[in-house]
Amino acid sequence: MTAVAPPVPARATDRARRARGPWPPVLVVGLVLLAALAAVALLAPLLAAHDPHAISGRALERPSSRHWLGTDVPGRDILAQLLYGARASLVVAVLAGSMAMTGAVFVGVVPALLGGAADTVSSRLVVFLLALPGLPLLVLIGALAGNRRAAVILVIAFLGVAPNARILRSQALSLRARGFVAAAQGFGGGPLYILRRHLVPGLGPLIVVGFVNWAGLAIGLEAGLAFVGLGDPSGVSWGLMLNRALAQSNIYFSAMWTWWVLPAGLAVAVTVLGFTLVGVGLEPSLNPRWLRST
Amino acid sequence: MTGERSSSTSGPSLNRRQFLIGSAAGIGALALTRCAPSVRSSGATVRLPDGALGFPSPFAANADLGYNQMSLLYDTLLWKDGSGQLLPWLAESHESSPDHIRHTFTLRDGLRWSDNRPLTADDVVFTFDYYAKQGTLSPPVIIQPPQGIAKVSATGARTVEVVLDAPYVTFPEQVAAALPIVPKHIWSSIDDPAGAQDRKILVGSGAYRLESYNGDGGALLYTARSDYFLGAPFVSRIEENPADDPIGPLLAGATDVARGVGLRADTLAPFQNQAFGVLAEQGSSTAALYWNMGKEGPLSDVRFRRAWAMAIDRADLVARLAAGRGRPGNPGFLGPENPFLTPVPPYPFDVAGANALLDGAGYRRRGGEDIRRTGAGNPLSVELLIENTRAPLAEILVAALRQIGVELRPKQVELGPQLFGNKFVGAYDVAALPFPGPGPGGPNADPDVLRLLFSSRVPPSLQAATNYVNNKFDDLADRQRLAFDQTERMNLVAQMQRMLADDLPILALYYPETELLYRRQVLDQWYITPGQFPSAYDNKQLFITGQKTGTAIRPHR
Repeated sequence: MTAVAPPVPARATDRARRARGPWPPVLVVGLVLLAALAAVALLAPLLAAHDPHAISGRALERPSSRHWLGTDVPGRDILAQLLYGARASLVVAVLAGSMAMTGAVFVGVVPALLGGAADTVSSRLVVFLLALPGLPLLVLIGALAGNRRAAVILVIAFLGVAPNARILRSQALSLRARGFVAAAQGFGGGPLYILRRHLVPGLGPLIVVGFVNWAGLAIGLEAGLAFVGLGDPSGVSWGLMLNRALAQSNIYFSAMWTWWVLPAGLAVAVTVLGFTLVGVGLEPSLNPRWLRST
Repeated sequence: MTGERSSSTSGPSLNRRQFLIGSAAGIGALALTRCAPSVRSSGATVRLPDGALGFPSPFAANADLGYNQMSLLYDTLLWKDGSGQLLPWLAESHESSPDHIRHTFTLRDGLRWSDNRPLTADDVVFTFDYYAKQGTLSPPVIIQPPQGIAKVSATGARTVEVVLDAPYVTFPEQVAAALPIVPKHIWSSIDDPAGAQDRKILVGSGAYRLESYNGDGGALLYTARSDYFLGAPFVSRIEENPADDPIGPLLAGATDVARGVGLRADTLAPFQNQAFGVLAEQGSSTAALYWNMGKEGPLSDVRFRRAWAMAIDRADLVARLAAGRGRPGNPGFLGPENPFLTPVPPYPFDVAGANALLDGAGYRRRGGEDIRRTGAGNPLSVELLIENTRAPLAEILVAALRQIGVELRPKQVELGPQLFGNKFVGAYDVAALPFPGPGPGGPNADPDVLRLLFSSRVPPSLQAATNYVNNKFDDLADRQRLAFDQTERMNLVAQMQRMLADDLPILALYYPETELLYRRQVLDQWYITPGQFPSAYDNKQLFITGQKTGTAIRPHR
């Protein structure tokens, strides 16, 4: 349960930020990791020597100067899949994180602003969604929605709505009680105007933190869904790489896992770590509860 | 041909890889040991890496593995050994009339069910009648009611006469050696045999009793019957515990056998020593392309299908998908070790030739398009139904077909038991399916498999060609079934293969090598049943006798 944070005066916020000094190291490390991910994703066509979909070698080649991480069963370059997999992960992270937070704003903030029945229904809906077991629900919806990347992104985003809506609603209720919202209403400001002019900017830091956290989680979830065979089989992703690699009978009997399983697993782990570090680094500066404690 | 390989061990040193493998295998062994039921016996014990595939009754067991499990409890009139010969089993003798219409079976004296009641000719007659009453059993039950039976009667307490409506050459193997005989006093009161799944009904004449059953997919434990008509079985206890990948438990000492298809050399390497035996068979299974010829347009155009056969490098499929262990697919379908195999047009890998064939057929690329179009302007884009475990095959086929301007859109599904069911029958443009399913055996089986797969007079199934109608082929298929003269039958089957290669309703893509790995210390005469029918592995004849051929039980060491 998230407590409703009391209003934080703007001057106090500025003072807290100044007192905190330069960016925390975890934030810097996280940003470096994410910058590297973004660079790899953007430059994948330049970095990869082969098309990740093209059959460019023999089956299960060992690492060589032509295929630095060898090839998979059809003979596709594993390094190219790893590089292009960063694109898939970034797309999933950004889209699922954005959609989850957009949904959270509409399910958590708007009803809180409107109050009355809308808020009651919305908060009950959020509680209901939070009571559902996340992972089985993810697998179930993923299986029903089919093996398409859009479906995977939607499913992950859907799961992110309720937990973030709960947090945003609490803060929205706090902001709504503040004088400038009442003043805006007194001057005839409608709900959308107040949402856009006052609430969203006030909630911005929380939305950013929520986005970063959910984006990191989305990468792990996408990889997990692909690993269990619920991803887009025609795409290129790290989870799909792991799925294909571990479908090999006794892959650990050979050294193959070191150039197939390990890089894909590390890529997922490092990327999730990057998002996590950024979230951890941003939270003291942006989360109202942290600011209050300072 | 079935081959056996072994080599000596290299020494006692333990490298890092062996240590890691050993550690992983030890954990696997511990897990399996915890699963093992706790009944003890004094004879040989065989541990198999399988879970129950359906309830082990004749009417509920699934596919070949389920048939194996059921056959430990239920016997047939005849049974096949490792040489492919049919042995007298419940029947001590089998005689057929000169016209092969009447078959007389004389049962052994003193046969008893596992509840100690006598097994009589009435039970055999009841079995045939009961099966006939069922109509078609729901797939994936392996043994369907036999067709072509005119009359079955008991002509004495131990004598049964089966009259056929035609002299079917396959009757002894596909019916007498496959149909499990069931007790009348149990099944006569059961109206829904597939739904009857109480362990109390598992009363059979087989060499084993089922001591524990943990539901579909769960562990099984069998113990031998000391009062079995051939004597106390060589293997007195059979433990079956499910394992996702059977290789590790075998290496760890937790199981005694593992089966694989197209295993990599590095997977086989730990078994190349005196402790293990390795059997390999070529062509007992295949992955095949099925075109739905009932759909209008290019799918029903033989030139289109031939272009596919030329655009897909079937030798390369062996290299990529079977680690080089296997053979390229034969357009005549039969496997490389089938004695009825005949040379047919091979459709060698020739992308330029395939493109020329499509050009000549009027499927052309327009402008700079990659995908060809039909004369009506529709793109050559077809959906490929394929199991989700066969993604690499789908990816290779997509790339191969793209070279000739055909777009393939894989639709990956989980077939599971539906491989033998009706859900996907005819519900595809093209399908890439594994073969065999239950029933006729694999590509090395009796050539009647061609009739069952390709004749339009046989009920449709997912394993059979879709909407292939060729009356000449159907006539040949019916005639070979009645041809007792081997030369005549080979000639008929050769004609059938040539027709199939011309028409290409199905293209066998490749035949991966099938491997059977086993621990010599426990059983050293394992075999892959010739034709893989009625059961491919884990043959009960071996468990009962301890040897590859005959019915004599080998003494314990």
